[in-house]
Amino acid sequence: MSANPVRIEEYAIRQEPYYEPAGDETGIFEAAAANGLPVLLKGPTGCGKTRFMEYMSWRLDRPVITVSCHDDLSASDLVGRYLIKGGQTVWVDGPLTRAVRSGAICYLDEIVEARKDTTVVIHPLCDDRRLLPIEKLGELLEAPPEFCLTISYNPGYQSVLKDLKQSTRQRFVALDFSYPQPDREVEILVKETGVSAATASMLVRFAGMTRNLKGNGLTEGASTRLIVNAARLIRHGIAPRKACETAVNQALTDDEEILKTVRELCASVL
Amino acid sequence: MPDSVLLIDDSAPPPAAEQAREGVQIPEHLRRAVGGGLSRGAYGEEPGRSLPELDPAAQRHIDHWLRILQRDHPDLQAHFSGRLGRALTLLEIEGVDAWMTAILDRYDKSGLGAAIGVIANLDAFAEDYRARQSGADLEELEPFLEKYLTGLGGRPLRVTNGRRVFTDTESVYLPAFLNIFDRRSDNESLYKLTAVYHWAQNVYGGWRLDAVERLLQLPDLPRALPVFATLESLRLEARLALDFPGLSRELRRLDNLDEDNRARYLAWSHDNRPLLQDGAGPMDSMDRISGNLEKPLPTPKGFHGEYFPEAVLEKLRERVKQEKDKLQQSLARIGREQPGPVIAGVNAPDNTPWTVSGVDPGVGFNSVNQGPGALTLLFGDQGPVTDDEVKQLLVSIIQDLGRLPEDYLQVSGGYSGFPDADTQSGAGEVGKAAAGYDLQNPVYYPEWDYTRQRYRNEFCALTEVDVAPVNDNFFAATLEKYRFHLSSVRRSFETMAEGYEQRKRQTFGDEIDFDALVEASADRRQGLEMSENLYSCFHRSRRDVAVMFMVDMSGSTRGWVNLVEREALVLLCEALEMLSDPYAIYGFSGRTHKRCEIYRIKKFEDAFTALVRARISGIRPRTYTRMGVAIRHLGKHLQALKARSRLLITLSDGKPEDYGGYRGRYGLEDTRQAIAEVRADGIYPFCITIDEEAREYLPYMYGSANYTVIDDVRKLPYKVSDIYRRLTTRV
Repeated sequence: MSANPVRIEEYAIRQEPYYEPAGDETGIFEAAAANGLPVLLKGPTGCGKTRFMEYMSWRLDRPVITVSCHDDLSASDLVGRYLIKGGQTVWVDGPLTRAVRSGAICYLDEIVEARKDTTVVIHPLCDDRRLLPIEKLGELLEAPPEFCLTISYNPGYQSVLKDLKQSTRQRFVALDFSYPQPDREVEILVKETGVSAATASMLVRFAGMTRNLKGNGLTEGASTRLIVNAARLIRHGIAPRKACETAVNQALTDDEEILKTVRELCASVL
Repeated sequence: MPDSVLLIDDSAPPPAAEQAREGVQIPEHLRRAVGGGLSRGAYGEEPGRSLPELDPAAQRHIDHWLRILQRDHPDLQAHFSGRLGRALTLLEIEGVDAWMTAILDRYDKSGLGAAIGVIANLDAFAEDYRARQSGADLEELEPFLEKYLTGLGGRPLRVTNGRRVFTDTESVYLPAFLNIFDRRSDNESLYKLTAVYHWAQNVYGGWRLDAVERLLQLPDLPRALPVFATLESLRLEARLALDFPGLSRELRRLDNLDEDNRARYLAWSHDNRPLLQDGAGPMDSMDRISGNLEKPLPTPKGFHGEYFPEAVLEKLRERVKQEKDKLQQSLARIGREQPGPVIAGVNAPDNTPWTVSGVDPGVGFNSVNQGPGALTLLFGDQGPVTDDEVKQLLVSIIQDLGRLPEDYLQVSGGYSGFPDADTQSGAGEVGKAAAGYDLQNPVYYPEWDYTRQRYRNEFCALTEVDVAPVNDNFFAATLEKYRFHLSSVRRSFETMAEGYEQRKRQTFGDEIDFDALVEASADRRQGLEMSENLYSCFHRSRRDVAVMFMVDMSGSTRGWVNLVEREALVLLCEALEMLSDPYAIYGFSGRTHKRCEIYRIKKFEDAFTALVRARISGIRPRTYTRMGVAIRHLGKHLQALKARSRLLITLSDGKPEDYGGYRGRYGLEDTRQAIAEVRADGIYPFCITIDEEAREYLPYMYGSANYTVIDDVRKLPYKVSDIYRRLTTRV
C-alpha cells in the first residue's frame, strides 16, 4: 500500500458505461443507496456485476472504490495501517475507510474469497449504526449518507468454505444477477463490440449450450464477458471458430474430453 | 491363471532373434522346451521358414511373446507359433500384438481351450481388428455424445447401445460399432449426427404427445409410417440447418446418398416445401402423408434410424404424469422458500403466483439457458427464479406437450404440506448407487503383468466389507498404556492445527514490528543502513491434507504385529482428532485375484465414534497381501476427495504376496505400477513397514524417500503419529 494513495476523485466514473438493465435492479439499487442499505450482488462470474457497479457509480455520481478480495485479504488491508516514513509512523487509510470518509461506494468484489475474520469488520457498517471502528486510531467513523457498501459473490461455488455466513448475508439487500436473456445478450454483444446481430446470435446460442453443461463437466458455462471477448476478436478479423477457441473454449476448461464437446458445440453453430 | 509362475531369467543370453537372419526364428531354447510342437504347428505351418521378413525390433517383439506363452502354457505357444506366419501376413506387428493380448486375456479369464479358440479364429480376429482400426466404438463415444446432446439443449437424452437405431424420448439407441466410412473420424461423426437427428425428433416436436397419439390412429400405419418418417426428415433437417449451420454442413457431407436417391429427396423436398419453412410442425408432416403415399420412397439416410411410436407413447404417458407431480412439488418448495408476501403474477390465474415466459410452442425448442427458447420462471413480482432443476422440468414438459397447461402452475393446497423433492423416497437409493460399491458385486481392477508389459484387464475382483466390531477393553487399555506418550503426541499435533501465526520482520504487514523498528532506529543513529523489515503480519498456516491409512491385514501380521498395528491406530486416531485433516482407515487382504478384500474401519465421512473404536479393536489377521489392487481401490477413494495434499500411507509387515504367482518380482512390479498410477493422480504414497529386509525392495516400489522401516515392532505405536506429523508438515 502506498503512503500516497490515489485521490478519491480518480475513482469517479466520468463516462456513462454501457449497461443494459435486466429488470428493475437500477431502481432497487438507487432506493437502497438512498436509504443507507448495503447491497449484495449475487451471480455467476462474468454476468455483469462489476459493470453494473460502474454504471451505478456513474448514475449516482459517486466514486466507486473496488476491492478484489483474495484469501489473504486482512482487516488492515480494508481499514488501514501504520506505515513507516522517514522514521515516523504514518497512518494510511485502507480503501474501506477512504470510501467511508469521502462518502463513496465501496465495492468488495468476490467477498467470499476474503478471510472470514475480515468480513466481520464490515458488519457495523451494514446495519443502522453505519459505523466503522478503527481500533488502531481509537476512532469511530460514522458513515455519511452518501456512503454505500456493496459486496458481490458467486453462489455457484459448491464449497462450504466459499459460502457467505448468514450473519453477513442477512444485512444486505440482495440483487440476483444471472446471464442476460438471449435477446438482451445479443443486444449487449452488438452494442459492446459492433459485431453483426447474426454473429452475436450465434455466439449467444453457443454460450447457452456451454451453460447447459454446467455440472456436466463444466463448473460454469461461458459468461457474457467471454463471448464479448470472442466477439471483439471476431470484429478484429479473427475467424469465428478460432476466436471462440481462444476466448471461450480454452478459458472454460483444460479437460480434453470436455474441450472436445465444447469445440463440437461451437462447430455446430458457427 | 495357473498358480505357478515361471519368472523370466533376466540373465539369459540375448534372444536369437537379435542376430540377423531371414524370417522369424524360434529361439533354440524355446524350440527345445516345447519339442515337436514348434517344428510343425497344429495348423500345418512351419515357423521359422514360412514367416515373412521382419525387422530386428519386430523379431525381438515376437521372441518376447513366445517366451511369455511358453511360460504360461507350452500348448498355447505351440498353437500360437503355428498361426504366426499367417498372422504376420494378415496383420501388421501392432495387430499381432493385439491378437496376442486377446489370447492372453482369454487364457486368464477362461483357460486354455478358450485361448486356443482365439488362435484358431485368427482370420475373424484380423478382420475385426482391421474394422476396428477405422471404425468407431459407441462405448468410447457415449460420454461425449451425452454431454454434446445436453449442451445442445432440451431434455437430456441418454445414449445407449441397441440393436435398432431409434429414440424412445428417454434414450437414443445406437449400434455398438460403426464402420461405414473408411476414416474413423467420419464414423465418429456419423454417430454424432445420428444422435443429433434423434435429439431433433425430440426437441422439434416430433414426439409431442398429441402428435404420437394422432400418428398411432392413422389408418394403415405400416404404410403411413415410412412416409411420415421421410416427411419428418425433410422438416427436421431444414430446422437443423436453420439453428445449427455447422451441423447441417456435416449432415450433407455424410448423408451417403447415391445420385438416384439424392434426386428422389430433392423431388420430395420440392413437393413438400411448406415443411422446410420455419414454424412447420409434426402435424404438418402428418397432414401431408396422404398426398405422398403413392410416391416412391427414398432410401433413409445413414443417420435416420427407425420410428417406434408405440415405445414412445409408453414412455411419454409415464413421464407426463410423473413430471406434473414433480413440478408442483418443486414449485411448492420454492414458494415456501421465497421471502416476503406472494403477489399474483399479471398473467397468471388468480390462485397462482407463477408465470413462465419464453415458451416456444413446440416447433422450436425450449431450453434452460439457450436460444430464443430460454425459459424464465417468475414468482409473483419477485424476479426470475433461478432453479435449474425446475426449469429443466419445464423444458421437458413443454417438449412433451408443446405448451405448459395452466393447471400445471396451480399448486393445490397452497405452499405447505408438500413433501420436499429431496426427501422423497428413492433419494437414499440414488446415494447408495452413487457410492459405486456393492457388497454383493465385486469391483474389477486391472493388474500389471510386467512380463507381458501389459495390464490384465478386469483381473482382480474386489469387495469392500466392514470389519466386525469388537467391543472390549482394548481401546481404553491402549490409551492407558501409552498415556504419557499420548499427551506429548497431542501437544505436537496441537501445534499443527490450522490457525494464524504472526510473522515478524516482514517488509510489509498489518502491524509495525516495534522490536525491529527500535533496532532499525538504533542502526540509523549509528549511521548504519536501516532494515526494511519493520512489519509483522498474520499468516495463515493452512492445512489441506487428507490421509488414507491402508493397513496390512494379511496372515503374517498374526501376533505381535497385529497388536501393535491396532495400538498404533488408536494413538493415531487420538492425535488426528486434534486436526481437521479428513482421514480414513481401511485394511486389506485376500486370497487370489478372485477374492481381494478391503476392510472398512473408518471412512472419510465417518466420525471417530465408538463403532470405529470397536472396529479398530476388531482388526484381525486374514490371508494374503495383494497390494496393487488395494492401492488402486483406495487411491480411487482418496482421489474423490478435494484436498491439496492427499496421502496414502500403508502400514505393512512385508512384501506383497498372494496365491497365483503374486510373489517375488511379479508382486513388486504390480505394486510399483499401482503406486505410479496413484501418484499420477496427485496422491502421495508412503509406506511404513516393520520388515527389516524392506530396504531392499521398498525403494524400488515407493522411491527412496517415501518409506520408513521401523526396526523394532514395539516402537510402531510411538512412531506412526510422529511420521504422520513429519510428513504433513513437510507437504
